[in-house]
Amino acid sequence: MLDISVVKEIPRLIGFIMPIVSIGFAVLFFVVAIVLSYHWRRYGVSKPRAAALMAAYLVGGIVLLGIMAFSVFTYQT
Amino acid sequence: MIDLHPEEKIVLIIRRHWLVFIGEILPLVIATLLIVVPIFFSAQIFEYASEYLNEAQITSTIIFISTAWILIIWIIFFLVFTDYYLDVLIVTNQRVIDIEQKGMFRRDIATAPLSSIQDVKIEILGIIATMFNFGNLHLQTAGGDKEIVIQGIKNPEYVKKLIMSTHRSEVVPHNLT
Repeated sequence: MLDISVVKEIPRLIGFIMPIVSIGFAVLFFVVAIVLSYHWRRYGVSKPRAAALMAAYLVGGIVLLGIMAFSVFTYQT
Repeated sequence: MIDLHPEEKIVLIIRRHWLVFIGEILPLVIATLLIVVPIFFSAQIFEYASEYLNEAQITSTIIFISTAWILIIWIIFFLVFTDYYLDVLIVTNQRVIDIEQKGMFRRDIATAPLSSIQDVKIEILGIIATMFNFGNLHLQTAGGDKEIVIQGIKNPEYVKKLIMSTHRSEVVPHNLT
């Protein structure tokens, strides 16, 4: 059985962790975007194809990051 | 992509078969489907977590974890795709170049001049490879036991014929003169 004082802290702890994790994911996402775009440019992926791939990557990822941010916001309010 | 010699012309650029890519992303598809697990256990999750969190907080937490999970899969998908897309076999009128991307920061490039190729062997393994026409290509080169292996290439028989015919048309006439 958990100590009641620890249990009380769980909502606050989750609320503290969620934004940090979100920022971590956002940083990871954009670092990978830079790495991918470097590889596509350097190793001969045609410009239109690289642009289309990057657009798909960014749109999908930003939507997911947006949902994450929204869930952090709804959790806090 | 690659620096060509003067008078070198690309005859063929070929990648691994798309089914090989599907095989590589299959674990990601299964991992994506795992996000339905919290839906099946939602009653238990709500019952257990309601001791600590209110309903809105539980919902937000589930959405947050699911989204983070999908974002990881999304990133891995693009890394796997890049790995697949940058693996390429180039046949020119002078040489065969096998480029293999291994992860993001390792890249192997094997080059064999057509004149050094002694044998081309193809390997089509299994019913799926036979139906979808893909397999492994082995290039045996002169000078010891050097062998270049390109795995999961599409239409290996055609590639073999092309390498052989390019070899005949580009290398043999030079040897005769």
